[in-house]
Amino acid sequence: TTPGAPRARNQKRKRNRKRRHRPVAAATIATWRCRRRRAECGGRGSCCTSRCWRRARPRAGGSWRPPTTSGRSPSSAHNGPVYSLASTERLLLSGSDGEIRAWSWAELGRKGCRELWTRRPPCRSSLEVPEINGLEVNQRDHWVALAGGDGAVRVLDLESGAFTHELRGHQDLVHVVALREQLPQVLSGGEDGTVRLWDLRTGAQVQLIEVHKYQECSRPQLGKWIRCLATESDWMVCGGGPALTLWHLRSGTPTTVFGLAQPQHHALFHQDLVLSGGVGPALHLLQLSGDVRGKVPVTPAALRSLCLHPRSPEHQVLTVAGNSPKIDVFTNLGYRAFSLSFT
Amino acid sequence: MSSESSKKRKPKVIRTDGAPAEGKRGKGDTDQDVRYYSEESEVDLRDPIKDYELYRETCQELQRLMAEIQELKSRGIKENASEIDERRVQSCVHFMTLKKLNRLAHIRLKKGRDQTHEAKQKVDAYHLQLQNLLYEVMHLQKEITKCLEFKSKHEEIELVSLEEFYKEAPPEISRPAITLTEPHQQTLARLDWELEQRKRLAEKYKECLTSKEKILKEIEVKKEYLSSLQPRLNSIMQASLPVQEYLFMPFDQAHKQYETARHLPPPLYVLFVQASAYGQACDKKLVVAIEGSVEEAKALYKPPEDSQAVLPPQKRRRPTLGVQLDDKRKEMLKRHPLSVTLDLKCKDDNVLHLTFHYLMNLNVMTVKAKVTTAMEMTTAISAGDLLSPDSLLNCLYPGDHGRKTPNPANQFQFDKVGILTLSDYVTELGHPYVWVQKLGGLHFPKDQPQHTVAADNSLSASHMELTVKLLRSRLQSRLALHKQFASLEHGVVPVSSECQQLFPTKIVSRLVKWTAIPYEDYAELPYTKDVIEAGLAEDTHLYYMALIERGTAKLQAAVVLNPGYSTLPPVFSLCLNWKGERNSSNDDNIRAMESEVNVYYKELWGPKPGYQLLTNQLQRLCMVLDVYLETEPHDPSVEGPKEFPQEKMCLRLVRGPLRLKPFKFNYPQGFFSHR
Repeated sequence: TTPGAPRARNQKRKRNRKRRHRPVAAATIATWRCRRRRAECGGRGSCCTSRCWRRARPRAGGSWRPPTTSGRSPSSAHNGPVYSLASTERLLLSGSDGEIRAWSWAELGRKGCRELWTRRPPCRSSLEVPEINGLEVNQRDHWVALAGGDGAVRVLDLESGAFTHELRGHQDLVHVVALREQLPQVLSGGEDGTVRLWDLRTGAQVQLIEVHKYQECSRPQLGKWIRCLATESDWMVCGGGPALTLWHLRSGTPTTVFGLAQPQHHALFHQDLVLSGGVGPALHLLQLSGDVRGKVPVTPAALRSLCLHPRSPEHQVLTVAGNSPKIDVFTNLGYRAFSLSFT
Repeated sequence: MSSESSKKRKPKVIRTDGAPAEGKRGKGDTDQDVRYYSEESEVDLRDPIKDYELYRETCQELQRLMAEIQELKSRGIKENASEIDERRVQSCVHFMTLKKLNRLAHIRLKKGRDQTHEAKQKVDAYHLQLQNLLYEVMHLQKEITKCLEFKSKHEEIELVSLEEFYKEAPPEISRPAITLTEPHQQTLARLDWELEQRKRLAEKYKECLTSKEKILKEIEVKKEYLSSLQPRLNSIMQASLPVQEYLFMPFDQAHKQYETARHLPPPLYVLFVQASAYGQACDKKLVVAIEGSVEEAKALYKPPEDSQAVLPPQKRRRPTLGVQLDDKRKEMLKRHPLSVTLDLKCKDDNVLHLTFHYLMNLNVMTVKAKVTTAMEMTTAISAGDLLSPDSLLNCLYPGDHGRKTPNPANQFQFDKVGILTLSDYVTELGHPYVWVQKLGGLHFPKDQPQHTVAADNSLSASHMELTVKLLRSRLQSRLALHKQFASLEHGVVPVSSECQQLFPTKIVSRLVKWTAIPYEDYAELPYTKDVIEAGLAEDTHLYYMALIERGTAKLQAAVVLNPGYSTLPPVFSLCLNWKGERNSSNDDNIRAMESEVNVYYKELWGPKPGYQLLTNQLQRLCMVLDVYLETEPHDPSVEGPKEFPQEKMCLRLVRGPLRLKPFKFNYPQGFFSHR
């Protein structure tokens, strides 16, 4: 099972502003809404919704009825780029330069849709507003963890709207957060090359893993930044500058180093596999033993974000997005089914 | 005997008494009128019933006597002769009585009839009177209805309304005291007023007619006067020619030009007229002239009378098929002998010469361009194409490349003579751009060919101003680029003083090479695929390669320049060679650098015409390369200090999930931040 509300992330694509005024940005983030499948993509300041698939009864072969692959109603969601997206049953959350906004899924497709609320985490100086690099939602207790650009991990309670925790410890910006299922703990990985485990009951850092100090996985020529992080029960996979590695959390030791040459940007646990994507137009399917089960070609030149549909055991849907205006959709992890593009 | 006479005379009504019965036969009919019967007076006195009784008795007596006679006669004639005589005499008396009674009855009857007749007559007379009277009544009723329905003519006249009448009519006509009470008087008064008004208006009408006649006459007189003026003016003009020349006012020259213009074909004429009008009204630096031979133009319209030359008497060889086809082609592509030249002068004294020709059989106009610069320009090698007449006016309007003929009907004509496309002939004929056709008022619908497309003045007028502006800006941008290229080839990026604030004072990266490359080379580069796929690089565009260096790092930038520079920005594709090849597909920061020059070009336009866009973009590239190299994290595995020490002031080195470097320069503080 995959943690929390999964999301995929894309890079904004530079486009020349032609006379025809095609949309400037390509997808940045795709996220699934839990029950209804809607892919939501954020771009440079705008959110586009691609039409959801109706939950058609799959035919005998388990094939999907192809949905309309067009993006709909780009509206300017933020003044700056949208860095992260997360989703609950009712809400879509988007994180941007120093603010997080909530949108109602029901109204999202309509014209003139306004956000439900906006929260700005307190920032120290007005000169530099920290961005929100990652969002993770705890569906059960209704709070969301924010990975901030100023090095703080914050927790926002969705019911009260207040920032309940501010966890400081990272020396540089925090790239990604991950939530542990059973325990009220948050993992965060950052630019300073560390993965820290926080306990929300005490509000203190419980464990610190300095990934770049381990010989097996560190790659100093690429850097020490940690970009992707995923956790399942006692295990954690993280990577970025250092190689993608599987860690055992309780002991804090790396167990398997996956031999992927390029830095990885996003990784997920799925059944007994680890899915990861990064620089290079391929989606990697890795077994926990360290073998590369498959390398699936994808349209974008580099992958930024992978997103699995959270709860449907019989219909497997994975979307990936990256350095391209197209989002790839997989119904079978072995090959790409089709792509969504913006009109 | 008397009974026989009474039987004979039964029809005669008027009878007198029985005494003069014998005299009846002798008298005859002449006395009938005078005869008067005494019974006529007795009849009133005697009772008819008694007469009837008498008659019955008499009849009975007679019957008795006859019976006795009978009886006597049957007994024997001798004895009873005296009794029979006696009885005979008695029966004669009885017969006399009967006669009298008969007379009486007849007279009674006659009297009765007379009375009835009289009464009937009276009744008839009354009846007749009644009929007469009824008839008269009906007649009178009809008359009455007719009278009642009678519409007097006065009701057909439209009268003014009552209020107006009382308002306007003078009191002696309207007499409100009387007329308000009596409607008849009121109507009369209104009619009076109406009559008076109409009389007045009729008079006025007559007056107006007379004045109109007068004015018409005056107009006639003045017209004659004016028409007599024309020959005098001509003579004055002739006389003023030497004065004009002395004062340098070439009105006559303009006049001559108009004369020549009459021989122009319609599209060229429209262009000439609109251009001169525009030049006089809005743009003093636009000069229009007509060149070519007027005699040839005149000859075009003359029927070929003696032009059929006398053929040589020897054997005539038919020209070969190829030569025939060639001749046909030449004929099809023939130009009109006259052409219109437009000279656009710019502020810095550079002139753009445009010559417009008209292809008669194809009904299209073409243009040839030439630039003369105020001062001698050092031609940079890369700038060779910028001002070449072939490509100078390319894509003045988007998509207008001038390689295809804009008239769809020409395709059929071409097929007949085997011409593939007009682009083979553009070097000698000129370019048939769509804006040229519009200036000449020729409007070709997109798909279907129309047989006659006539030159339209309004089309030309609506396009003139915009086209002239575009032409000027095109010339100036090209000249500006020309100058910039000359400087770029020497490795100096010229940045004007207004744009200095976009860049920090110290930029270490330098432009070392600037060359023009052909389109095929550009298409082969691996990092330009996205631009080509997006449709931003076509073969009408100009392509260049710039090389920026700092230390061991070499940045190659492939530039595609749209002919509509600088409204349409050039697009850069970057590839950095430093510790490996990095381009936009594998390095987000290179992508961010590309977006700095391609997407945020509006900041780099500079002062108003914006011709400095390219050089500012190049300068910005140098600047972001500096930032990129200096903010690279130090690799601890490599010994020695960083090759590029950080000299730029940055707030944060890494931001966002993409880990971008700070490329945005803030003026005047002078530090770099993220967008």
